[in-house]
Amino acid sequence: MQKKIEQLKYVTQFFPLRFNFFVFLALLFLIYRFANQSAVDTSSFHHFLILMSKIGFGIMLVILLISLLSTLAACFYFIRHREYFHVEVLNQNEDAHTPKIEVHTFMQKIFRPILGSIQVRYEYNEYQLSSSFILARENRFTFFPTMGHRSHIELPNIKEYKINAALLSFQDLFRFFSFTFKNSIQSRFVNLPKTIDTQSIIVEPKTTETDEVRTRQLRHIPGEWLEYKKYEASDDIRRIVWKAFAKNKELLVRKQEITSPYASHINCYASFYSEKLFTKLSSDAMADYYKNFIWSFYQQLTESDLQVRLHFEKMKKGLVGNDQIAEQISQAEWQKEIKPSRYMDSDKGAVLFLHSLLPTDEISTILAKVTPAQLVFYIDLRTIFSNLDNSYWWSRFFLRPKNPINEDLLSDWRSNPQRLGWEKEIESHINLLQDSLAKTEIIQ
Amino acid sequence: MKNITSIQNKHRWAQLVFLVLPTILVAGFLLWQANSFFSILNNQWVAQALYFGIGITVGSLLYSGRLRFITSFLLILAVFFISYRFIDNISVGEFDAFFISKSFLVFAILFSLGIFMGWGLQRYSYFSIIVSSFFFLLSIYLLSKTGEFTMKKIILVLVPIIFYCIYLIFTANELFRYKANRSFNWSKLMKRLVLFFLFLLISSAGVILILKNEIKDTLEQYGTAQANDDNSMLKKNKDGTVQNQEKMGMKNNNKRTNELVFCAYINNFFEGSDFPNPLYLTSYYFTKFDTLTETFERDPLMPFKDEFAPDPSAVPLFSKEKNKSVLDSANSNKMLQEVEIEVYKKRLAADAFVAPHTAYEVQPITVEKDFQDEYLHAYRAKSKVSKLNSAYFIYNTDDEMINAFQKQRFAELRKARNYKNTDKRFLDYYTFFPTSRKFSNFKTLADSLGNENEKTIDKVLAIRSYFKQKNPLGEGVYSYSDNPGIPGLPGASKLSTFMFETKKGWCTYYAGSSLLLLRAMKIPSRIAVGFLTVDRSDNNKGWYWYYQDQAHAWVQVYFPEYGWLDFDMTIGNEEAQQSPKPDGTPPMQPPKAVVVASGNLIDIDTALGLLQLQTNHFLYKEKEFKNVNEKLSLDISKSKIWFDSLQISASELKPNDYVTSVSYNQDYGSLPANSLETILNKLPKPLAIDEVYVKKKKQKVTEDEKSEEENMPSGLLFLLKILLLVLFVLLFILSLPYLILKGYALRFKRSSTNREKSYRLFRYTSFYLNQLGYEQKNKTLAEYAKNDIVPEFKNDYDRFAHLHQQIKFSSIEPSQDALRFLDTYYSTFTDNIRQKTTFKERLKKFINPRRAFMYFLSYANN
Repeated sequence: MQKKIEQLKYVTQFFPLRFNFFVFLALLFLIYRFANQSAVDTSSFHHFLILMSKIGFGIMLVILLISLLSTLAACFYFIRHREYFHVEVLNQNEDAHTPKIEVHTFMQKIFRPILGSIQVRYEYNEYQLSSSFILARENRFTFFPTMGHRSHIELPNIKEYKINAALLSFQDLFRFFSFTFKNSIQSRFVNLPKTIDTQSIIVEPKTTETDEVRTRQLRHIPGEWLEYKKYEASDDIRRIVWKAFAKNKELLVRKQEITSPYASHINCYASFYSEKLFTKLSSDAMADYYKNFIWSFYQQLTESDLQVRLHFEKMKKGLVGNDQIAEQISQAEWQKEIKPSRYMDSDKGAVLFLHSLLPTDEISTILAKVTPAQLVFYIDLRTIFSNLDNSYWWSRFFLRPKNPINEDLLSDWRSNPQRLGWEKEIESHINLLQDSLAKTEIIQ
Repeated sequence: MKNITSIQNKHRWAQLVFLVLPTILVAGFLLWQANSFFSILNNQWVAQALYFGIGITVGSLLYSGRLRFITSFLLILAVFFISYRFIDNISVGEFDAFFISKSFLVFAILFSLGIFMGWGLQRYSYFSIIVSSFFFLLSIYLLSKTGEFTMKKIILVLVPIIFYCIYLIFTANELFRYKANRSFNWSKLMKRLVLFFLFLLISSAGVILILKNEIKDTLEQYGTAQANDDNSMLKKNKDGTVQNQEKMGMKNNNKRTNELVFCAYINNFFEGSDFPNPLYLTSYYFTKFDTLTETFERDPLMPFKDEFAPDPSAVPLFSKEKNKSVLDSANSNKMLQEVEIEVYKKRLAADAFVAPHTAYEVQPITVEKDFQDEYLHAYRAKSKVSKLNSAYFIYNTDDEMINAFQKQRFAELRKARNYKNTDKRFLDYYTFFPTSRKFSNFKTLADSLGNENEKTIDKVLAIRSYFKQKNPLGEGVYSYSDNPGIPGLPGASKLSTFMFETKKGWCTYYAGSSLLLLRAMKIPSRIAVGFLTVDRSDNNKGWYWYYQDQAHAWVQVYFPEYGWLDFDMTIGNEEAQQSPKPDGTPPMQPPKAVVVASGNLIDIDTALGLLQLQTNHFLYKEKEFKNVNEKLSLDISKSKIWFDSLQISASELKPNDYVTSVSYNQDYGSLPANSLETILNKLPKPLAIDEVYVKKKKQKVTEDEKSEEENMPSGLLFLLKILLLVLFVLLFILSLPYLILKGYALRFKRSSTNREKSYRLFRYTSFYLNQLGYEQKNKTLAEYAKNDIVPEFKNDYDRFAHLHQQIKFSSIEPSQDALRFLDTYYSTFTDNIRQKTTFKERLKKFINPRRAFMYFLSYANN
């Protein structure tokens, strides 16, 4: 449904008549009705209304025609000179609240509609549209100036954005008409997850591989003291090298054969499994939160000397470097196919990331296998909505939120019937977690 | 962040300056207009404009931030509502409370409207279309109700309002474009606005010119073209002539002059004497009343039509136009007599027709040669006049003799039957009374006046007496005034104000009020307009002179069997009745034409004075023959030929001209007028003609078409001229840098001394280089030449610069070689630049007046 609306919105971009035109038409009709009604009441008003309407609309029509003709001329010029259109990505700004990329869009030569304008929008992913902007003249007065604009494309969600096309609309001065052309471009941006403040955690690595180092037979090594150390009280007397004692009356022991604990990894398991159907807006927001959380813990763990491995459904193997991991996290999406109990290895997994969208039976299956050495994170995804909702009721009543996306998100969340049964489900999740053997962290 | 805030602030300012401020001005103007229409507003338009202004400013600023509209606006409304109820409930000083609460209500509505508009303009670009339409409708509504429509007003008031409406839509969209870009640039916006206004002016000039005819027509029909300068009863035509208005509104003032409009001979004398019996002359009947505008109008759809309003100028000379149905309906009444009238028009329009009620026939006649300077047209008309419609019966005067005389009439009318047997449709139409509450006090008064009397005539007389009532000091309560002023309470009914408050006015007010009272009494009545007749002539019996101030309106009351009878209710209009202007000499009445033949001219022989006429209309004495198709041979050798009022020679006649030939020769008059054939056979051939009138056949439709044809291209031509002018100015501005360059070159070539030569050449070269984009800026000339010019052009400019400075500053004379270089450098420099740059490049750079401007600016600064 939502996709249909987006598609419709996209298609209407190509419709030559704009909303202003319909408002104008409606008012014209009202004036006409009014004039007809007044014809009964007072004759002079009726006739003056007709006359003045003729003058008013006459003037408007003349200007509109001039503007419209020049707009059409601009369109034809553009069609013949599409090669002048360029898009230049200047930089990607990740510091801001909503990450954005700065793009310089420009036409090297363009015939400018008289009093009209050229509006540009970007189409990304599938039929999604960026906010619009108007091209402005960038050089001095000529008949075919360079026009452009440095705009920001907002990338609100942590995911991959594929920019497919720029839509150029040539509009007249009243914005009654708009002629839109699609100019394909191929560009791809990935919005990486952000590090959020997390509590510091101590994770005990689980033995994942036995790395036994047997003491070499040192008997044959003459004159080398490397494998020996002085006897200490706690040392096993069976390891005393008597030969050495015989030689120089010194008690030395052979170094022990060690099963190295450092050889272990921290395996983290996360899951993007969800059976619930939320709207795109809500599920994207929840995914963002979940991705940020996973990424932040992953980073925290990698800061220690331990080797950390992250596993989730569509994670590619053999990735090197945090950047690639971050990109992989970005591209993850909610899915319904692979259940977490199928691939989460409770024996090897040191950290398990569970979330509130998982079905209860899945959680109980996973928790049944855990050991006290494991750490289980449970992320209550409702948190993002309650974070949005931190203003006073009266301020919500009278003020729009600073970030309009938040308002959409909140109303979207509130209007979703699915959230009603969810509360109970989460309660049962928490009960399960509290009863489990593993160390659990519930993030709410 | 700071940048974003400053852009937001700029947006707020731009919104205030470009959208809110003009809206306040327009609203202020409309409130000013509305104040003279709606009494509730209490004539405090400045305060009201301020309320609205504060509202829209506050709205625009508040909603530029995060404030939600619905909740906050509802809160404001709730606060206003509670405050209003609170003020309304204060019991101390009821009147004050009423007054305060009413003022508060006005404030609350205007303030809220302001907030609403401020919000809409701030948040939605399409809202400007809604605001524009709202103001557009409101302004036309108010102006059509309150003011008087004139061409001046349309151009000075309505066109600017239309400008505002279009401007608002454009500017709002423009500002929203900046908002979308999160940027703002004052100078770019100003440039766009200037361009927009240029287009607006050109297109509106064109549109107004194209619609000129329509504007004029509408103004003529529904407007009040010369409302304040002229007699409100008369309409002034383009050619300076006048005629009765076709509708009658309650104007604020009336101007009367003593200018002669026409004179007339009314062949009506008291029986058995030569004592003239004057008659009021009627033009139109106003049977319809527009309640809202308080306008009395002609109704082309009036039932039982007995109005004969021919266009005498459209009837061929000496031909008669007769309306039989009017005659039949008039004949159904008693006490009738036939009256003939001859009207000689001086300033009365050619197509105007006045005659005693009820006229049924018109015949255009000629004006005697000696009087043609004074009187342009004339016609003869016939009327069936009721003996009870003598002007002496109608006058509303204190003259005892006249009053005694009038009693006969009243006695006769008391015999009239009531309206039981009168057609119901007729009664319903002529007793229509507006249901609007504005006129309820007329009804109350009519009931009180009518109660005591049973007979219609007594009811009519009760109204007349009511107007004639005197106060204890013996002064008339009602009086005549050309300037009764506007009602104290704006928006109140002007008729009601006249009737119950000011009690002074002119005939329009008296006739209008009487009509309402009569109709409230269920007496069929209507207003007649025309001219008041006063007998002031002792020498020329039967001759009457009509001045502008005699244009008049009075009521006609229908009496069964007696027909429509006139009653004049106007008080104290003696001035008009006793105009001090002395009467002139009456025009000589032309002898009765014996033979009149009209038709298209086939052929003319100027040498012999013979004319062949394809006659289609023939008149022999009183006998008229229409649709004739006879070829007549006429002798015009001794006749005078007239084209309009100009006498022309026979050679100016052309075949196909429409010609009316008249013979006054009484010798021809003795033939038996049986049939056309016998007459034509017995008349001599060629027939000697005394006068020939050449006239283009007047066909209204074709003339309108023609005038449209003439005006349309002239409108377009004007538009074209403006466009050409704009184009020319534009071209001039664009070519200015080139012209300046050529000017420098010319001055160089004309310079004689080395010093001047060097200076002129320097100006030429530096201007040229500047125009090509090489500005000297802050560099010294040597630096500029060496670093900027020579590397680019390799044209020895450094050498020239050095020489120029040497000549300018040093006392050492330059060498002969150097001087030779100076002489040739002009052509070397120019050729070099032409080689190094393409024509297209140079053209592009030269059509840039800004650069030239900057050159002079920097030059002036240095």
